[in-house]
Amino acid sequence: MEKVKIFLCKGCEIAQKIDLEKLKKHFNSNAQVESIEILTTLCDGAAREHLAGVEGALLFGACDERTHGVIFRELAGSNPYQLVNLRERCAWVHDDQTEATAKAQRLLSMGLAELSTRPPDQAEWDLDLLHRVLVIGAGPAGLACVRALAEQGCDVTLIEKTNRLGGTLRRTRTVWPSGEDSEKLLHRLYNELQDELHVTVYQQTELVELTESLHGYRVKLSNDVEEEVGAIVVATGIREVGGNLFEFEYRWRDRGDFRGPLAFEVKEDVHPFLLETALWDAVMLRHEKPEERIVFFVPESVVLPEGFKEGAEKHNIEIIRGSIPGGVTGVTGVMSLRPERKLRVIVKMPRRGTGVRGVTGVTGWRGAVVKLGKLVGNLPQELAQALRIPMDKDGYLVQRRFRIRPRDVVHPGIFVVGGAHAPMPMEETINHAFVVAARIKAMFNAKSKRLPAAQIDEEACIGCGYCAAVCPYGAPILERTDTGHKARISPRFCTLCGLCIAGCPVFAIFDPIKSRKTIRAQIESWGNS
Amino acid sequence: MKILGFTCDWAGFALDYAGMIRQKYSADITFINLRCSARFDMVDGVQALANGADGIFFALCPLGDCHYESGNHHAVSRINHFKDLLQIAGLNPERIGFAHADTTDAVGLKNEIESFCSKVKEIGDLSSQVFDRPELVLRVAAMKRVVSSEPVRWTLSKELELVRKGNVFDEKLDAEAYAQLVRDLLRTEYHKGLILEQLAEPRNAVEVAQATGLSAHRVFELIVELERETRASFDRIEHERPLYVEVADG
Repeated sequence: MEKVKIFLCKGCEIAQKIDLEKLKKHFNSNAQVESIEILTTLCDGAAREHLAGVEGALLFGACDERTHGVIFRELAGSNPYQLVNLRERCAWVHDDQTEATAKAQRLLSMGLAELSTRPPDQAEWDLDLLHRVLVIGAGPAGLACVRALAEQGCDVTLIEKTNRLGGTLRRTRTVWPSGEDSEKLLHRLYNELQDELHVTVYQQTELVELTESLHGYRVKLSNDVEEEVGAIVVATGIREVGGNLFEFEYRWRDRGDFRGPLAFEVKEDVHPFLLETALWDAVMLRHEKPEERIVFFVPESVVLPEGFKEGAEKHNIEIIRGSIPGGVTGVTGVMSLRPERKLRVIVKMPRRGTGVRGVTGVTGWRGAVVKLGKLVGNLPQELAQALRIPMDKDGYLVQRRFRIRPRDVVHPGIFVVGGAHAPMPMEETINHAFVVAARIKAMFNAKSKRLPAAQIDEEACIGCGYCAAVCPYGAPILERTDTGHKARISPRFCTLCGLCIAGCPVFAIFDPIKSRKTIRAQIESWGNS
Repeated sequence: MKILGFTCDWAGFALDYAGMIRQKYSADITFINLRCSARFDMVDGVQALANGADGIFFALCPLGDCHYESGNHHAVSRINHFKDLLQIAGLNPERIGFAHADTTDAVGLKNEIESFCSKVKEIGDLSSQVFDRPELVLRVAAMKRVVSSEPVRWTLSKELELVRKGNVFDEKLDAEAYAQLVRDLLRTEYHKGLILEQLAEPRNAVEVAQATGLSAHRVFELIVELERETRASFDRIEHERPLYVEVADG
């Protein structure tokens, strides 16, 4: 074992509260210690000159890693070092000099134990990410994100499941709430994209497999392309369940006209976002057709958004509480897809007298009906599985730590934008895409260090699956081998929190930085001092 | 008075912050930084007791605000079972304390530390009261056997999964029943640990019963169980009584 050189700092009240000379005397007799020096301050140029050329393991008794960590990293250079916080953890919190000195001694010997038991070659590794991004889904969010990333010089691969770009934008008429024409917006996004040289677009392509690699993720696409990317953006958008507002808007845009009264049939599990969009559409329609009847049939259980009633009243749009009298029968699907029938296709055709005479006096409903249902994430189960991220019941990827990092999912370098994140107005979708692009670029540029992953002793592992079940990041995976199941840890997913390490029934997982041995040595040296 | 503290990195920020705003607290307590409180292993807790800790304190993030998703829930469950183990071993479980602290909640954390330190001071020194030092060493050795035994670690680790998520049949187990099961297991394993401590040399059940303070019936029952688990074995018969000895590990 290499001998340790200790340097103690006198600054920041440390010398007033702690008897450094006594510490020096104590550690001089320690067999592990080569020398111990007391310097006026460790964070100034004089200390740097003094320590230049010093080699071997170094132990600094000074201050906080967070405030001065960089300075000590520079001071130590390539030598292994340990910083003991004598300032915040001792000098500043204890008044009595004898007690503070005793505690400082304890802290230093614990630091010494940690330094001497730390494995030498387990340093942090560079997160040297490839500057290439895979964007899944060519909707508005995906396109905007691709553009923002390409502008900043990233190579981007864009994959789209269908054979046309545009996603939801192709299906809607105007963009809510700005009122911009969807088609124009799509063309704008698309034209901007065409000038970019860094973008590869694959249509009718899906993500098949995702494995982690040293510099990011290795992805396999359904068109047999394999690539290594530094980050992945999920922009698969949203889809309606039990409703057809998007289809209505598409028809409306396509035909440009509609006749006859229009009803919006609101389902009980309607997403409030759809209600607002539908009202917006209704108001647009009202401008075109001042005479037509436009009615919202809203079940009693649905709470209308604020201002909804007032907005509807202002534009002479009726709101009827309850379902459509007699229910919707007749032609399946609200809008016939045959062009000649246009939008006025009748859905409800009750026989005379069978309709329920409601308070409003409506007997049956003769006119087009648009249903407003649920909005769920448009994310196939297979994709979520390939990404190894759990999905909630509404089809959105589970976002942990939502309050702290609202843009990130569980795994580093995988982001969700736009509708796949949550239903949101188009402007917000595009802004969201820009934010994520900026996050990715920042991640690429930061020369961030990553902790090494927890490691598994394969011989000791009994394949019980505890670690795989308990890890919130999905880092350990059980693999079948010749000698039964064994766990393997994906280094990119591991945050080294230690949950699996402390819980492993057979002590088969270990921490490469702060091992069991280190903690035990720390406790022992604490007990002995 | 010696108190060992474990703090997660984030509650550690609160601790550093307490220093910055000069919140004074007792110098009896010294903290070890763990990345997350879930890294706390009961083995380390027993190690601390063996090294003369009169109390053990944990500083962790508020529930639901863990920086590693759910680590502190696991930590709290482990700490509570560690308290159970202390109770079983006849030590005061009040010697274990924990506090949830936000990264900026320096004053709150300082108050918690202070009240815990004064509580431990009231309870007193671990070894000086109630029983003598060799007795304590024995108990701690038995506890060490408990916390490193595979069935105990497995049962403890699976607790949150089985109680909150459910088993393979999607049945959620009753939390209180499971905790009781863990306590029973801890008690059995602790008694086995005590017995094994006595079986370094071949001994008969009655001698072991006298040394451990357990009933001869219980000792014999557990020795049979230990034999089945191949942790103890029959040695020879002396004075018409069978002698048993511990099987050396691996």
